[in-house]
Amino acid sequence: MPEQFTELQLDALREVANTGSGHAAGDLSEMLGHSFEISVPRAVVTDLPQAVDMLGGSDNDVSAVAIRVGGDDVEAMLVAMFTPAQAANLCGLLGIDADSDMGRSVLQEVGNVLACAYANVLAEMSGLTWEVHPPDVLIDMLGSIVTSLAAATTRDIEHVLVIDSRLAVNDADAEMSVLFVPYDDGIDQLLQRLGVA
Amino acid sequence: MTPASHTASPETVETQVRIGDLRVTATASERLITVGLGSCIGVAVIDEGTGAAGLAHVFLPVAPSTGAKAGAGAGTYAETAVPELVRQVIAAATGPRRTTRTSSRLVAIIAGGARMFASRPGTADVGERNIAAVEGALRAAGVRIVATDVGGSHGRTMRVSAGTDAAAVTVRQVGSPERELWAMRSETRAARAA
Repeated sequence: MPEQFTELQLDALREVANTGSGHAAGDLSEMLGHSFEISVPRAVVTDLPQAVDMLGGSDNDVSAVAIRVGGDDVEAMLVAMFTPAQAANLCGLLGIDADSDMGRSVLQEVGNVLACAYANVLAEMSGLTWEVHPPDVLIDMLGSIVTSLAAATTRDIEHVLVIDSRLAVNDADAEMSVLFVPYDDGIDQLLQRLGVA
Repeated sequence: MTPASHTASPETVETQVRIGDLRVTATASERLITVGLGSCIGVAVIDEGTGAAGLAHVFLPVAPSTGAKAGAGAGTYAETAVPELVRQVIAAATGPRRTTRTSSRLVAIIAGGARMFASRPGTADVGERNIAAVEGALRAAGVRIVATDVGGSHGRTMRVSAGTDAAAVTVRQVGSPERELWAMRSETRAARAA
């Protein structure tokens, strides 16, 4: 991975997150019958310990759904992370217990909606085909999830690209953090396709 | 055998070993802890003679061939982390009177290497590669692995206590109680120290 991205490149990646999360918010509002708002996305490069702290601290338990999207050369992971309380509140909007199999399906579906929204936006912006793979649902320590994500996508512990935004339900305490994590080996091509190589 | 967490005095300090870090302690008053091991591996090396102990939080098997790596912690990559951990534990155990006998008293306990996500097709799982790399590096360093808690699909927290009476390693997974993975037996200590 390039150790430094230009401001222009970070802006382009922020724009992917902004549009992707924006579309996802619309789709999730429809699915859950509650409107969502999104925060301004962040795109920064930092070392891995710092990235873990930025995202909430290593030993905090989170519920997460992770989905791989992409094609042959350019791929990314999309991850939605909730605190257990927020996952419970989100499932509660549908009258479903978050700890049940149904609750798991709700998180899977939220992940699918997110991944599809990002895949569509990425396809439009890059001209590449983005396939959506099956989701993994995890309840684990934030540190385990984020560091494993980094280990799968980059080999560089010192320069980790963090692109995240927050999606929140307007009238309930249900918020998720959405991570867009491109794989290192396709990042140059992605930036090229976004016109900021 | 009483778990170390019960025998430790209230003054015990917990030192965090963050991802890529490596720490060594020779006293029972300092416990080493690493949180959030997913596909990463926690490698503990303990000298059965003195109870000196070290812990590394290994991220990947080997350093990338390109790009700067000078800033990465000494515990980041298995191939370099394990020899450095062994060196530091021997130094902590023997001080200036280093002897070659010490390495035969070293034992290793490893935890982690989980498969948190499905891997990309055609690529080996990071957790599995980490387990193999750490085991290989310990074998190369001549250190016996006496206990493991590796693989699976959940993250782990690992605690390492040092000291002649308290050396022990515990591991905890989300939703499970902390359990003892290894503890030094007093007869072993007596034999090794003799």
